[in-house]
Amino acid sequence: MLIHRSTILILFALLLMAPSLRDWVMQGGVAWYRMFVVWFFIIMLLAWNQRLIKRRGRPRA
Amino acid sequence: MLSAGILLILVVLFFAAWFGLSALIDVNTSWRKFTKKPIAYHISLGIIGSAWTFYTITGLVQNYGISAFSYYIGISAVFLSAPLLLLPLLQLCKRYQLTSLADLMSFRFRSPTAGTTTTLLLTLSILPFYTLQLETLAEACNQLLGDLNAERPYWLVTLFIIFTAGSALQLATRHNATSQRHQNLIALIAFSTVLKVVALIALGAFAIWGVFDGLDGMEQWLYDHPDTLNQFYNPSVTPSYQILILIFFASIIGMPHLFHMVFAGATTSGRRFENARWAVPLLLLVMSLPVLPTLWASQHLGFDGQGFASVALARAGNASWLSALTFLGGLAAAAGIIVALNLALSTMLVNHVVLRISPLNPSQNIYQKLNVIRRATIVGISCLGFLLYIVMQDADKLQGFALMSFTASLQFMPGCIALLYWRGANRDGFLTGLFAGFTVWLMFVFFPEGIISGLDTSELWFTLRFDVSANIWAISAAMSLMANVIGLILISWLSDMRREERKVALACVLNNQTQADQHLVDSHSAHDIAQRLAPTLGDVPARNEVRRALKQINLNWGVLNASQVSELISALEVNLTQLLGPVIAEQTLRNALPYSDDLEGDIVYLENQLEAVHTQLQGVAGELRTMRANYQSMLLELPIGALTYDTNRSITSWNRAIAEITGIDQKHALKQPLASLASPWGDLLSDFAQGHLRHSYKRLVGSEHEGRWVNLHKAAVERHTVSNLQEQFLLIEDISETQTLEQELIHSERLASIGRLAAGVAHEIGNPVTGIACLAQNLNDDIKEGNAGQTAKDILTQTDRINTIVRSLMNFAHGDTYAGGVDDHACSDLGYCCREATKLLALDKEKQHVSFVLHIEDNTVVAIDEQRLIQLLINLLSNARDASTEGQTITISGKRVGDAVNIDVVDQGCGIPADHQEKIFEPFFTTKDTGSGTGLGLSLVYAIIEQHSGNIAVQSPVTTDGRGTRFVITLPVGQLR
Repeated sequence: MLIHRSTILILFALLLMAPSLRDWVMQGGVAWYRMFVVWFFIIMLLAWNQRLIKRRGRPRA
Repeated sequence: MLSAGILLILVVLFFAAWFGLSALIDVNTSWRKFTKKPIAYHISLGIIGSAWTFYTITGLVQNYGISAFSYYIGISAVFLSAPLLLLPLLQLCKRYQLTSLADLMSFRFRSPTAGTTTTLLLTLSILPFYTLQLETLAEACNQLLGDLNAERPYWLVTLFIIFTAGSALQLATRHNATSQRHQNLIALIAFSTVLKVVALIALGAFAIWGVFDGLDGMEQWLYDHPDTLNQFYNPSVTPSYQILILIFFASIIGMPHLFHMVFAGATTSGRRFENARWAVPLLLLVMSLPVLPTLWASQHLGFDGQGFASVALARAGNASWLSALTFLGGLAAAAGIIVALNLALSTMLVNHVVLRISPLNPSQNIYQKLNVIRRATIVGISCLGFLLYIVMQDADKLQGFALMSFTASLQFMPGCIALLYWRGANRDGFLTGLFAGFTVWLMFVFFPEGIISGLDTSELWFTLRFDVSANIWAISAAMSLMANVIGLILISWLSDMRREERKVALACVLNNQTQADQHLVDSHSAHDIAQRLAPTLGDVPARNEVRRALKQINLNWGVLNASQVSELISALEVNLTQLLGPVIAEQTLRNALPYSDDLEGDIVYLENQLEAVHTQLQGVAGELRTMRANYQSMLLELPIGALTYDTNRSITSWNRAIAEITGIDQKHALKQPLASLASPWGDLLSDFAQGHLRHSYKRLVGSEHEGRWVNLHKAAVERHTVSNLQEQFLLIEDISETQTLEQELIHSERLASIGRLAAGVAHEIGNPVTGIACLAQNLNDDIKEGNAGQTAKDILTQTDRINTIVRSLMNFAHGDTYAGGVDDHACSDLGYCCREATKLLALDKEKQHVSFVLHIEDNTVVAIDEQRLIQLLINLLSNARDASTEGQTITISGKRVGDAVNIDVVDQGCGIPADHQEKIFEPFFTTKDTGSGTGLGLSLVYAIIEQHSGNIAVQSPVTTDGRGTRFVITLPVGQLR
């Protein structure tokens, strides 16, 4: 497969954290932007992951 | 407020810019370069935001609250988890030049029927979505004009259809190759995305700072309107967000325009996808950020939920520029979608439906015919979309159908996942699953109420699990998907998979590096390949395509080796796939160039394939890859020149050392036949490769003074049992320095021998000189007595004797002037050489007086240079003499045995101990006292015999009392000229 082990780790962590993140977003009140904060955080995490894969070469998992 | 005239001007101006940009990219290199940049591709993926989402997302948020963002989140999720689905699919598409879902399915399941079915179902399911774009644009137009209940603006929709169809026609027919078509499409869609994003950001900024006077104002408004927030977090209608995310997740694969942009865009333009993984979600985030402020600002200004909030905001804000921008944003979104859909659907319909019904006729110009078919298909799709728009008067129903389009796209998800992760999936299973899924989907489309009333959906497990009871499309999505998955799994298990399907399944699942069904073709010239393609494509197109492919791989017309033929066919396959689709391209090539069963020698091709695909291999495959890399590295860095060649004698590897020795670069040697290498290497290596000898020593390459001395070795690697590949391994050992050293050593040894002989020579010459002196003294008396004549004769005899001695010594001393390696034609008489050698040895009076006994058959001729043979014998006999004691006999016998001459040298000396016998031929090995011997004599004997393809053996002791040594030399028989 083509998946880097760090990607698997991140996706698995996100899957585990999804209910907590959802609750946090849903309890935002006037902080309507929480969903976008989470979204942005995930994008940044994956962008960093992409850089990591690029720097270290091809996936190993 | 905008008027119809202004909207018309805006439409005309927008499409003027649209066509102008397309023309600019065709003529301007800098703009064309920009379209190849990753950022252009990433922005073009903003096509995900359609006109419908542009205008109605605010309405969806108002009704469904936070769940409405499932559209953006679902699509972001597919990009964020790209390694699971998008990247493997992308690699398949890249490797096999697949540009649509129909291409992918027909390729994986080796079935044109799979491609045709996929095309027809996609067309059927996407048409409501196509029409929805027209409906949304028309509705936005009416709202901007201020009349929600006005008649449909057919003028706008007609104009829009004409412009978008015209753009698609221009893109589809101006460039035959998909890659060129895509450069323009990417630029146009990127342009539309920029316009769309600017409009959305302008709306959001106006909402925050124009309506609420900043973020604090908006926050205060939210405090004052808690119902708004409550509706956002807990909407009255709660759709299943899991199903929504799944549907939108699948839309990237199942929506033809999205597949076209994501995969064809990346496939035809190099590595662009890498950063799309985070860039596209970021773009979607930017597009979704203004949604909430826009909705709340419009509500603040009295928006009652009728129409589009964005339009209502622009109108309430009394800003014409904002209204114009809002209209342009929606127009750009719709134009991008419709043009991409036209291109994607027309490509699929032409390749998988039209060309199957009406195959190409070689008597026609295929390029023209393809253009006509493409034009007709695009016009047909546009007319069909427009017709559906006219027929579907109910906008709400149309929206429902469009939502069902997304549900339909879900039906291709099981096939795609099976394609990547389950090699047991087969054509029958895929088609059955698709049929079952679409049947359920169609039942929900046409009889929704009937099905819902006949089912107690609250009892179904998925309604309990996913809470979908409230949404008919969610139920239809879940049920059709289940029917599809069950059909796929069940039929795939029950039915057999065809052989060709199994190969491709393996290639797809394991990311197998070899091209599926890749075999060599029994053809060795580009002309021949063009001729074979002509009956299918026509003469001129066949030659054009072969010429284009040759240019791409930097080859010329003419004779090609096996690897070059493979490369040419791969390039042809890529080009024909872009032109005709994978099914027709494969059929064309297969019919014209049937595969040969023999896969010999295609190592370079496979190696290139391996290098070209940067994928990860695991487990055993990973280990093998590492081993292969190590093997290659070792071969490359080996200090001895090494090359491998296939059974066609084409070079398959060429290491650095051989490049240094021969002066021929790797790039000029690889894939070339051995014989075509630059002189003198071509002839030398080709002759050696053809010959039966496995080793060839001391070959002089080039001139005597500037050439190189080399040893050649070769070995055949056994035919590989799996790949049926066989290659030969050839080593070139550069021994020029060793050869020079050896010549110097021989010269030194000769000088040493001359030194040793000098005393004997002086003594030998002394006798006749004394004799001459005596004869000279007696000469006066002899003259008187009349015996002067006899005296003169005696003097001459003595002089001859001196001459003979001097000549022998001179011959020996000048023997090393022969430095030209082995003279294949030199022959010498064994008896004469033995006599000369013993005569020279007899000059050394300081040595023991031993007897030399010769038993040489008459006319025994040896294929060796005379001086070399004498030198050999002197070295051998002097050693024998040194080992002998006074009065002993050394016997030299020689006789012809078949094609060889055996020379025996037997002495009666002390013999050679067994542990010394293995070392006596090594240089500098000696048992003599220091200063008495150099240890080079026997090593030179061995070298001379090796050079002349002979051999030498030693036996000691010879007699039962443990004395004596016998040297047995075998040399090839010669013939005196």
